[in-house]
Amino acid sequence: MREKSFFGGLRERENRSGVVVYLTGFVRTAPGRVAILAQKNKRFDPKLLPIVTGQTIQFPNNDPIYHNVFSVSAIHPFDLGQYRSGDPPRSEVFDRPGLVPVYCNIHPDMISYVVVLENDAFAVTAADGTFVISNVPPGRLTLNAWMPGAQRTSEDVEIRPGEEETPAALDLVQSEKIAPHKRKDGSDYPRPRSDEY
Amino acid sequence: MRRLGFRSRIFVAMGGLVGLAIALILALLQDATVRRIREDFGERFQRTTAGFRRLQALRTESVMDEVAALVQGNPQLRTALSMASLAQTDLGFAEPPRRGEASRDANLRLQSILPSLAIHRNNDVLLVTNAQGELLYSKLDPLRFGDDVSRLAAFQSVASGAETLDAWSAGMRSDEGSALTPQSPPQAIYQIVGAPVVFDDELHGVVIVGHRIDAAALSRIRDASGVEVALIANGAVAASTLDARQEAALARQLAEKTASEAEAARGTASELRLGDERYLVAATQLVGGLGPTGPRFLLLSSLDRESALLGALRRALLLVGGLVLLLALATSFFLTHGITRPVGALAAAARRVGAGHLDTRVELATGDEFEELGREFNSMVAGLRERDAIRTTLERHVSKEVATELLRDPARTTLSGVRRELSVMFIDIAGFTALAERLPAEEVVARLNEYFECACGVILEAGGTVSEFQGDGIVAFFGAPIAHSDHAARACRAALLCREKLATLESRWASQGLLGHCFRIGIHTAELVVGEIGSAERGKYGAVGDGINVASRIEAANKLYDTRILVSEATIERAGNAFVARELDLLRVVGRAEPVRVFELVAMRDALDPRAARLCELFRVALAAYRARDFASAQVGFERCAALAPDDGPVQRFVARVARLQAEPPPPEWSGVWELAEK
Repeated sequence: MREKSFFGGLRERENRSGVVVYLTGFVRTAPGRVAILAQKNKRFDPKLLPIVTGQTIQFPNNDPIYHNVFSVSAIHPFDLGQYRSGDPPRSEVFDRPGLVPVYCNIHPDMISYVVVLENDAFAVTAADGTFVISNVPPGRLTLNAWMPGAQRTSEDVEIRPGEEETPAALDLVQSEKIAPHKRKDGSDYPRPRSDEY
Repeated sequence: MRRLGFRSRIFVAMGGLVGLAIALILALLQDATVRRIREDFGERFQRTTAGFRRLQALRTESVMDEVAALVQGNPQLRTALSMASLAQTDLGFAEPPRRGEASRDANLRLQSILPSLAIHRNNDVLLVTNAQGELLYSKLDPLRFGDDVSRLAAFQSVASGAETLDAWSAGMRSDEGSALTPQSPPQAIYQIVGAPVVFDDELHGVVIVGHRIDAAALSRIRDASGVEVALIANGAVAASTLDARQEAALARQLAEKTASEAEAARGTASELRLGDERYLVAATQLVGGLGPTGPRFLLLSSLDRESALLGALRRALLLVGGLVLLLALATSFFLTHGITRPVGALAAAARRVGAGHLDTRVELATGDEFEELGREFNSMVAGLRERDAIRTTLERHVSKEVATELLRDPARTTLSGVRRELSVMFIDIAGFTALAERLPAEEVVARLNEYFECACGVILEAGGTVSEFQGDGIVAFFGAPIAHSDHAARACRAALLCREKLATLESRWASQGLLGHCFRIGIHTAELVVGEIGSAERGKYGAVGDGINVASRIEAANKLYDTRILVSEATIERAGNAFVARELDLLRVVGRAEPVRVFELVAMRDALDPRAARLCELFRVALAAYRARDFASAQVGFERCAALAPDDGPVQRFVARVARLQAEPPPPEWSGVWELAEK
């Protein structure tokens, strides 16, 4: 059975990056590759990290300050403690599918969304919203798209054997981002800034 | 009715003016103060409203700061909310998300975290929800979670990024029954502020806090603004800074809807009576956008208390006004004293002058018009004095009555020459010239004056005019300058009175061995020219005419008959019937062809004694015989008279004359006229 590629796009947004597009309906265990979720400029990079079940994420601290990585999610709570950039990077293996928000207990604005998927048939959109998912097994599957702050959108697709490429288009509705609340005098409420340490 | 005196009128005018001024000032003050109070209240109302809005904004900012600080400083809290929000995410895996599980976990975590925090202690209301509006924690019902409160305006405005400000009443619950605000007190109003919990610009939860607006909170507003504040919700008083009695009155009025009418015009002050105190009142919404029935503030300012200053001012003004009035009255007293005193002095002086005291002077050293008036008064009195002197002088010539007449009505009298019938009287003292040579000069003048005094007095009294003195003789006339028609009778009456008065003088003189039986009076009535005769410097009021000489001759003829008063026929005819006169003779006086029939004036008819009457009768009969040349009968007749009155001069003369005529009968043309040889 030949596996095929899947390509498509998202519409209506200037920057259509940062959307995870993935297929559900089959399970395929993790390859050995280690994913990287770095802490840089008091942000997690990337903010959205899709991995496959069983995959390991390494959390390097690239800032000259302490950071912490922890999650209180039901499917995978963990706390890597606080460490510096010089310390050996800490890692965590995620063996249950689901959304694992990752926080830093020092920096309140830091969040990253680790999406642990059932298989490796996923992609993250480019700025123009395009994506390519390779090695898709044939069969009746569901094509999903999600990004933080949005409802997942999905579409059932049938992958026939021998098909080289299957085009697809998805609409994703993202809730409005909260405009930062301003004080009466126009100043910002105190919040951490990424260019400060 | 007596009119008010000058001073009273000034007093009344002064008092009235000052009173009017005070009343005007009071009215203006009242008006200005009330307007000022209203303006002031309007300003304070605006200020208070603005201040309260500012407080609300500060409170909002403070809550948002507090929530932000809390979230940033407390990873447990923020991740609990974030997890509760993200647990909703369905990634489409075989195993669906367990939502209830996440909310329960979040509630448990919040129960662990929140109660120890200041935000929990300091607020009556503390609600925490996830990004979807699911209740995770309520201070009033900590064990409850999962209620959908996404429809609360407070939540929605936070979720949409808008300003979050709301007011909740007591006993508010979620749709599922969780207590959101305390049950009691039932009137309480909570001011609600919501704040978002945000991760990287994304909403992960909402914190809603609220605190009760109580009397203490209102007191702070009052202390800052100076106006009373009442919080009104659902037609009742939720809280106020008024005292209990007035708050009760306000509640009653709210129940009766009268207060809502008073505040009908929002933002503008109207009046409201609470108990016995009047208030200016205006309303403002607690939170904008809650509509006219939502909770609102009443701002009240006691008009009476504000007017207390007015009362004090009024009292002060009345006091000052009273003092000014007193001052004005005192001033007017002194001013009018300066007027009434000289006026009084002038009036008194005028009274004294009226009473005849022409030596009166007023001395006014006021230095003003009154002094001038005083001077004029004095010169007027001086004029009167002069006139009085003239009159006194005049009175030596004429009687008081005549003098008065002359001074009063100069037109009626004629001092310039006029031809008029007058009775002229001559009085003389026989033998005075010889006497004057014997006596010392002072004695002569004294006697003479004594006699003049007596005779002139009588003449003047009878209305006669003393024309001149000729040695010891007096020339007087009657009928000028006042034209008395009875001048002859006046002359005769004066003559009789003179005889009587002078008889007293004569007897005194006789007792002193001076003269006896010396006064002689002659009267004649004739037409004469009478007037002011003389030069400019010196003159007399006198008469000119032949009649003067005749009168003089008649007076002189007394010597011939040894009589006292002789009058001419002209006089006795005009004197009337009131006098008894005895015809004596026909006399031809020197220088006149016509003889004059002369009479002795005997007495007033009503004073005639019987002996004299009898004598007159006998004499008349004898005289008739004499005229008829029946000298024998005449002799008998005259002798009879002599028997009755042996000392009677005429009788003696005629007895002698008849005896001589009998001895030497007169020529046939004898007509009984006696030639009067000497003057």
